[in-house]
Amino acid sequence: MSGNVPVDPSMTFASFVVGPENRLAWEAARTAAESPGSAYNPLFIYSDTGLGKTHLLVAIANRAQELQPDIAVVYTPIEKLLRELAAESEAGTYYHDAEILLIDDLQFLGHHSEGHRSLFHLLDHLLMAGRQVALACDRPPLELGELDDRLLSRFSGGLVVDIGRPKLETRRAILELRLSALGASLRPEVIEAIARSAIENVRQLKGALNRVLAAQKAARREIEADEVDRLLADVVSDSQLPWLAEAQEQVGGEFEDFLSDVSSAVEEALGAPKWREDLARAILKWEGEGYLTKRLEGYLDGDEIVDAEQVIAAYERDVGTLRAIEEGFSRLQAQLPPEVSFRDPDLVEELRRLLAEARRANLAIDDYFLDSEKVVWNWPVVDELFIENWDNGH
Amino acid sequence: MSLVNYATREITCKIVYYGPGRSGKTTNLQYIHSRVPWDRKGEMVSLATETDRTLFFDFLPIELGQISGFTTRFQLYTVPGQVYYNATRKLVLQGADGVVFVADSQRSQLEADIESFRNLQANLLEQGIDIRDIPVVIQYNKRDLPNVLSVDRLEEELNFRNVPSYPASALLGEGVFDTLRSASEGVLRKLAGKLDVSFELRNSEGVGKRAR
Repeated sequence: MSGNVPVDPSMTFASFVVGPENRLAWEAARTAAESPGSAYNPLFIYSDTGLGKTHLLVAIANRAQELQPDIAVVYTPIEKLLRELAAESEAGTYYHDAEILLIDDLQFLGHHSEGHRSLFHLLDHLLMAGRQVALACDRPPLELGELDDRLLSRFSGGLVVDIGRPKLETRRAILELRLSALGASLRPEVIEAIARSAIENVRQLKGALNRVLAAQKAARREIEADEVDRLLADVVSDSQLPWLAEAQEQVGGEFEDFLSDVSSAVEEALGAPKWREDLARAILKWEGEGYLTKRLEGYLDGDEIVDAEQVIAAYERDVGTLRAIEEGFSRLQAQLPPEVSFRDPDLVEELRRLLAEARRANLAIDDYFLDSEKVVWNWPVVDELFIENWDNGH
Repeated sequence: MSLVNYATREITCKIVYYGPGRSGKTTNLQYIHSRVPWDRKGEMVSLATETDRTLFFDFLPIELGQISGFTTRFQLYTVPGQVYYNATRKLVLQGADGVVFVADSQRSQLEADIESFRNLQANLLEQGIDIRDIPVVIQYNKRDLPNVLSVDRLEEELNFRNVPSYPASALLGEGVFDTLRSASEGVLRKLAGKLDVSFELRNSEGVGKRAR
């Protein structure tokens, strides 16, 4: 190979476990290796870390060389490429002569416009000459930050494809393939437990397998499935759960069913007792008029069923009494103590007492009058009668 | 906590996921969180140790929206399962309207399940609540693992009060919503009991169904 970074010969298309979540990337990479420059050029592969991007780039190199031993294939991380382009070293000529250029870790492209310009010219040169370019990155081109439009269009001009997180079947297959490559064996239920262990990162999955194998070797006996959880306790992160990746696609379904059931139940529970509805309506009405309704709220929050008609009538009588007392205070031009309010029906007795005190303090001769039977009354007494009559239902 | 506040027209339902360490309480909440549309859920708050065990608690608020004119929200909490965090468990239990007990079905975890269930009863009693007076649902989690006890055996060991119970594999999302639906039913049934009416959650297959 003409590349300046050695690649792992074991990373081939055959050793890459294909599943529904990575089939397109695998097919596209194989096409790039077997017919360079003919399709998907450039090929832009992105995924979260540890899902096989580098494996596919290296597989392109290995497969292309297998088919054409003299082909000039260059595999390089982006940082090394930029460094060498900037230095205008001899190594830089590798890239311009490459028939297949494989650039890894594109997320480390950085923000140096000089580097962007050099990369653009290199890609432009290779693509115009029909050479194959494949790039790997942890994000799609549009999320690479501030990029020159021309560079962005070069990245996106071929095929942009992602690798999804491996589903259970794929994880199982990865483990079995790995065991076969290592010439090791585990009980089937142990393989199943590792596959189900919520590790979705292929690299970590292999690490988990190594750990279980090491434990088996150290214990000199076969590991049991119920030991796997403990062995992998610090590898498995709750954030790596199989359904998280697909969650966005399926959001709503189960929740909507649940919501529908709960809504029915709540409606039934709240709708059934008329007395609560009556109390709630009364609370809203009197709150709207500025009166404190804690007495009515207490009935609502309580466990006892109450006669709403009766308690609302009592409350409204107290509100009427409050209004009469307020009128009495107003006529006397007397001030209420600041801590007392005409809006609290629970303070009727207290206010009645305060009004009586205020009258005694304000009693004057012109407060007297004669009624139709020539009985002499004074205003405080009339007020009392008025309030009493209100209390007795007018 | 007041389940129904007629004055502010709000229903707030607090459900606590209880159980031994590593039984899958947080996974239940994470699955629910993943299935709730973004505009209906708050941030799931998880306070965990470096090894991802829940140290304090998880909290997931879910807005169910307006139901019968009431702003309805569920608040789901988990407690730390590890034995030494009992003070935190007591704190989280305060004001719970319902409890989901997440048991680990693995044979090796039976003692931990039983101990945790006893701890639940003790902590409720300390708050003056008899476990018979609060809606409790049991979830037999990790049914997908190979070395698990039968549901019948788990029922014998844990469900002597004959509360609703569900097999589940929270990791795969199986049984998670059945459990939550049942717990919600229990809480709302209690509300309905206060109101002297009875009802069943409608259209909900599996609710009230025994795990067996």
